Amino acid sequence: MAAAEALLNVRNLKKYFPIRGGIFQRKIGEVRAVDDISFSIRKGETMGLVGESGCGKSTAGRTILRLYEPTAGEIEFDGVNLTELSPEEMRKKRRDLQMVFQDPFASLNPRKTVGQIVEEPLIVHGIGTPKERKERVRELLQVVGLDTYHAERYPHQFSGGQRQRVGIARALAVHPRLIIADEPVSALDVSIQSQVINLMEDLQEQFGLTYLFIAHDLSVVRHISDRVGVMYLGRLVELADSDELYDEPLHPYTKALLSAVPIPEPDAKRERIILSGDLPSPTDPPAGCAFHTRCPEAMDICREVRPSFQDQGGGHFVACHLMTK
Amino acid sequence: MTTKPLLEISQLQMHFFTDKGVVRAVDGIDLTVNEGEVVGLVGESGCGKSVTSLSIMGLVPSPPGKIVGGSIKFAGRELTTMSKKELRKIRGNEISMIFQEPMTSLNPVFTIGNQMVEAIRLHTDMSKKEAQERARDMLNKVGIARADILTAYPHELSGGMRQRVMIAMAMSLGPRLLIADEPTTALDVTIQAQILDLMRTLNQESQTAILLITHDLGVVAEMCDRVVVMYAGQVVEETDNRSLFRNSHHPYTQGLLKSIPKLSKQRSKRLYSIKGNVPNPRNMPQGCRFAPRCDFAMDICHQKMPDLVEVAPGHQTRCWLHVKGEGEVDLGSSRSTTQCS
Repeated sequence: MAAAEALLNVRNLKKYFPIRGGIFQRKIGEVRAVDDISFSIRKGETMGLVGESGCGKSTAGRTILRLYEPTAGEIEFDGVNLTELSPEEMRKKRRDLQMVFQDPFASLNPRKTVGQIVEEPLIVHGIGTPKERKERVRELLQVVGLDTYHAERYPHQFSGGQRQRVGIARALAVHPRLIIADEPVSALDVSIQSQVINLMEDLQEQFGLTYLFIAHDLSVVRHISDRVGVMYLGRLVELADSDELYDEPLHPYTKALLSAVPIPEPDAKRERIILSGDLPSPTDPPAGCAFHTRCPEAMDICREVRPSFQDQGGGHFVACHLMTK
Repeated sequence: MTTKPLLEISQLQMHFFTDKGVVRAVDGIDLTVNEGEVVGLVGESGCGKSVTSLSIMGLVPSPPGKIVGGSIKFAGRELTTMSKKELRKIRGNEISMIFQEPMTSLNPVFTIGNQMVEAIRLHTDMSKKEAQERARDMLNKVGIARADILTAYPHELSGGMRQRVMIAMAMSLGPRLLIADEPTTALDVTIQAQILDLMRTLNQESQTAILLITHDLGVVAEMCDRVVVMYAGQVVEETDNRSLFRNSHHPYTQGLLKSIPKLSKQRSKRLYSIKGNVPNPRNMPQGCRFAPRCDFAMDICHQKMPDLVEVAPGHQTRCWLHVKGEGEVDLGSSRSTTQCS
């Protein structure tokens, strides 16, 4: 699966969170937030990661940065296995991997000015003299479409869209190569959302960035991504080129998910697949294929054997027994 | 479909009087919901759509909120001058409301059965047993067949289930109008599809009119008969569902439609985006409130507020481009209409 030009290779990544209980706080169970996923991201591309709440897409993003320690698996970034780095080495490595968060209200320190917020990663990584850093902050604010005088202001003086620009400026400060954006536009209104999406695309072109774009909005993900992976209950169920995935989805979950999106077009043909029931609990995922409890096409084998994630040709990966029938 | 008006709001002004000045959250809006109709109220955060719905229910805290003008008529009766007691009879019985976050609208320390029975008995003289029967019927109707649902607590249910419970509770007294404030925004798409499906069925079966407040134009396209678009406390466009998407007249509506990424379309170069930000409600621009962000703004737009004018039967818009003889040019349908595919 590792293409020659891959920047990031994730192999069999797992992240289980222990559930503790009883008087000795012993481990009584675990949440399988990310349960054996593998994918790679090529240099300069945008990979989208979609799925419903609780499917593990955000955990996957954070585990790649080792903000959560992975339970198992390998994360290879530009030839270096991140899981083998010491905490100090990893800290230095994060110059290359930055993150943009969903909530622009919660991810900016309200007691610091925007200038201090954007400067902080430069201080942490020991880049430049104070004067050079101030200059760099001014430059960054302009790059993301803010004015230099905004450096003196506090986050509460900004609108949601402007705060997200500050978050992006902070991520860009250390010249990263990969940016993991976790729901960067879902807290924003439609008209502001398109401004931020356009900005991210411009920056990608300008600085040759690679994005892992995590979102639940399927239309936004299609717009920005070159390739898209679909997650369900901690597992990747399908991964393909963006157009191929949306035009010819193979996995029953992807089909249902796409058919559920309301289309802003009154005369559009709608053949909706309504899934019954709710997401099973990740503490006790169903045996076999995790989706079999809600799948309209489930067979006997789906209840017993977990389907493998296989290439169906042209880099279109699917984990479904219907494909191997 | 009958065209008898059920809810008529005219020139409603709901202002908030704060220490820092007056916020004109709702500034002279007109809105009609006919019997059995689904009307969408669309706009971005802060445009006044939720305040409008809370005003109908008489739920805006006062002070700071105050209705300074206009009227809200429900089935011929004026709600703004009604006493609290009379209003309480209408709320729940004839108009009910569901909110965005079902967890915050359900009491966490009472069971579902407890809460539903309380609401039903408050408005009827049913016995406890009859009320429980009714609650179970309603829960069945919204697709919750679990036998133990009446003794379950809200935290035991998923988001979609909770929203179903809210709908069952809202529908249990057979209201004539259901106000749904962003009912699916907190839910995942597959659950959203279930809830929208349920609301559509309820509308068709019991002829309950729905005022659907949302920011999602996809939901509007699927659900609504008519649509009202709000911007900065005012109605800027009102029309039927199809012409909103095919033939919108106001530059704000057009901008909104163009800025949504399309699921069905291959990756396009760039998204359209409306420049700038929503104006500060304490400091509204003089003239048209959208003028500072509008691509077509003319001199007059910055000076005088346009009125809501009819551009076609049942289609109104608030824009100088569509006022004949006023704007320098009347662009009619050539430049200002967008085709949305």
